[in-house]
Amino acid sequence: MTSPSLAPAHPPDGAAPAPALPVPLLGGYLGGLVVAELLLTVDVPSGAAAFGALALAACLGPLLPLDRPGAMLLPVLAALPAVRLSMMAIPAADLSPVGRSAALAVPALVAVGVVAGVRPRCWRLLRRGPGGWRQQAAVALVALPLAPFAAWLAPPLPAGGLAAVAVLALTVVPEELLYRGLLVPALAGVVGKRAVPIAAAVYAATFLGYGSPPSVACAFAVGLLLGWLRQHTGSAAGVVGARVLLVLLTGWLLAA
Amino acid sequence: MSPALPPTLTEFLGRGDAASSVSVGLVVLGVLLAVLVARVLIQSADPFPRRDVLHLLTVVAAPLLVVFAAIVLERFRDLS
Repeated sequence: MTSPSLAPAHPPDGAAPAPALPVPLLGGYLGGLVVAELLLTVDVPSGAAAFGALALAACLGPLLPLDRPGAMLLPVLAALPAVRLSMMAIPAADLSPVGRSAALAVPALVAVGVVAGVRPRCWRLLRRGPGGWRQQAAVALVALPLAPFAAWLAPPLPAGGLAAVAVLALTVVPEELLYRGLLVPALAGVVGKRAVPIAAAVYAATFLGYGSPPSVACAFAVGLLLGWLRQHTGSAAGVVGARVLLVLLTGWLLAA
Repeated sequence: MSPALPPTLTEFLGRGDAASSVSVGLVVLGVLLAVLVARVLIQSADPFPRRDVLHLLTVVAAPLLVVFAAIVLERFRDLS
């Protein structure tokens, strides 16, 4: 059962519906994200500039006549390219692997905090969903069957070994909060049932410049699964736990 | 690249030289400057500023300010 809080809002009877976020605009934004990711593979500064332009363009969204779900989506659309730009720009090359992981997580955490501050209360992030904590714990266990596939596709363990992997596991928390915790319910208000595949596509696009086609496909599949679970359970706590567990298990399998 | 391990891992594994590149840093500073100037103009040009636009500008500025602070700290460390 899909959480009713994530269903698209409907205007009161008799009232003229406010304009929704134009789908071509949303499609153009998503296309811009993909182009920026692909530009990263050719020229990093150009890709960075593309992300910056996309973030600034999202800030112009309120100038359009939008309904409430469309207006709620804009902060997430602005945060995504800003976080991607921050992660490629933060100077952490001289830090230890553990310090580097922490440094890369801070901008995403800050962006999530700012966006989460004005989110609707029905977008539960780390609170218990309608199914309770047992349901969230069950969602986290989804990581168990996924770990062998992730280990098969993963690069070698980073320097620092399992300790670095443990810190890395924490860095996926803000990413998961952004892509599943905020993006899925925000898109659900605008595009309804297509929210989960669109959010999964956005997440998989971040692997375009880094991974092989099987990795991108796997990222899309993981995004679909976690996005559906987030929408179905009404909370992001379980999927955050699943990602953390997935990173830890993948690191353990690589070290074994 | 595994979907379990985020793209940050690639930075982590050695493509992070891009993070210290001057060009990317300039892009960040340019975007941050544009956002901050826009905030000032919006707040000063209208007695009732568009809070929704201001909030979006804050969403973009906040992580970039973290990067800016990190860049400045790194430069001070290089100078010392």
